[in-house]
Amino acid sequence: MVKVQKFFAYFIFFIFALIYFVPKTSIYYFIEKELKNYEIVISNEELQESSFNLHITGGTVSVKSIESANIDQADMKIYGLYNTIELQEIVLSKTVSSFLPSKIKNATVSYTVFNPTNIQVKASGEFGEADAQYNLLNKTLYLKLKPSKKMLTKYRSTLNSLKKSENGEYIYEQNI
Amino acid sequence: MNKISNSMYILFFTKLLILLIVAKGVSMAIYLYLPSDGVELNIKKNYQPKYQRVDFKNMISKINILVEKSITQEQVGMSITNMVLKGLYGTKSRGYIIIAMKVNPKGTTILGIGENYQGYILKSISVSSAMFEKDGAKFILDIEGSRKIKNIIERKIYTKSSIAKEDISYYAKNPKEIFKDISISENKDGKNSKGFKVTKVNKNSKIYALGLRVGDVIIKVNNVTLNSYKDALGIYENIDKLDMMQIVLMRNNKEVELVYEIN
Repeated sequence: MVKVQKFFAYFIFFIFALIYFVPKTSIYYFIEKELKNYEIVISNEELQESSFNLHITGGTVSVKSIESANIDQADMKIYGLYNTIELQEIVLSKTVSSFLPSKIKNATVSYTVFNPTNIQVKASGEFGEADAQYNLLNKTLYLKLKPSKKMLTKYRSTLNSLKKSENGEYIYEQNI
Repeated sequence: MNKISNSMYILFFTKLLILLIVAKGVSMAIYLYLPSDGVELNIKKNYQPKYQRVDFKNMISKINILVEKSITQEQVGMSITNMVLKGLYGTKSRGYIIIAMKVNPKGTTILGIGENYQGYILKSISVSSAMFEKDGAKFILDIEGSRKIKNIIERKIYTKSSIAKEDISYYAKNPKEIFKDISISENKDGKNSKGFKVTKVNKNSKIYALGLRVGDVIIKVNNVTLNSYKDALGIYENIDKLDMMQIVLMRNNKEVELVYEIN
């Protein structure tokens, strides 16, 4: 029993050491290159690596080379078993804001080895609250939206392109 | 006793040190595998046309002549697709062809190189086709019964009157209004985009008045080929800086060019 406890203690120490040493900036560049395959590019951001996370200041997100959003702050935390990118104060571009209210307060993208085929996204802002899941195997995006009053009144045409569920949520499903 | 405890500490710290070295080694391996630089976006495009169409007649009597030109060209629109090539004899620069209209295939005409038929001038003859020219554009007509079907591209230029700068500014400031008046979708050719297909136009809109119709495939705007949403939005984002607009589109297999002055 003592041997097992010792093994776990050493294993946890090793994981912490690995998280400490792992090149977070390079992982961020790797994510950027993967996103480029989906024609998503993040530009003009400043990276600051610390012991256990990567802090990102600023950044312009372009989808299909169209400037789509500006991000004020982001934090990338890589813990191996559970990894997250927390984005704060996202402002959508003028073009995108014709479909959605322009301010997104925060969004969290998470990936855990306990659910290896899915990337989870949670976001809240002027549009309401959204929960999304991207399946890496089927390459499908499933989004559930609880719209805000503003979204319901001013962005009706966007909501009309989504499926309405029985509990008043709006569903978007797309193969990407 | 002290020696035993000391050796235990040494063993413990040695193990930790080994784990640290292994962790550092693994992270170095990850570092070597991962990219060393990120991705940045660079877009630099000039949305002003590379050339400007100058119609000297505009300088004398601008609007009247422009409208007249537009009407005349639409009326003249005797398409080469209405013709049928019955026979041909000759080489590239010498010879004649037998041609008729599809509505009256027996009413044939013999045409020599350089001669005019329904506004089309016969320029050259090949093994199974004849080449015509009209308004500077070239057209190929295949001999009747030829298995090879070519897209006949006819170039028409509609020089309409001007667009008001206020209308452009209105659409630039209210992107939602554009999508109320027009819907477009990518025109895919395999994985690549080849222009944007107009899927809806509000008949009461200014866009309809400008000449865009459902089914048109917009290929170029101001000499920028539209291969992606980026290209289309690039034009849109710069629209209020333009002083003229040239739209090239495909309509019923014919290339149509719309030219507007913005003032």
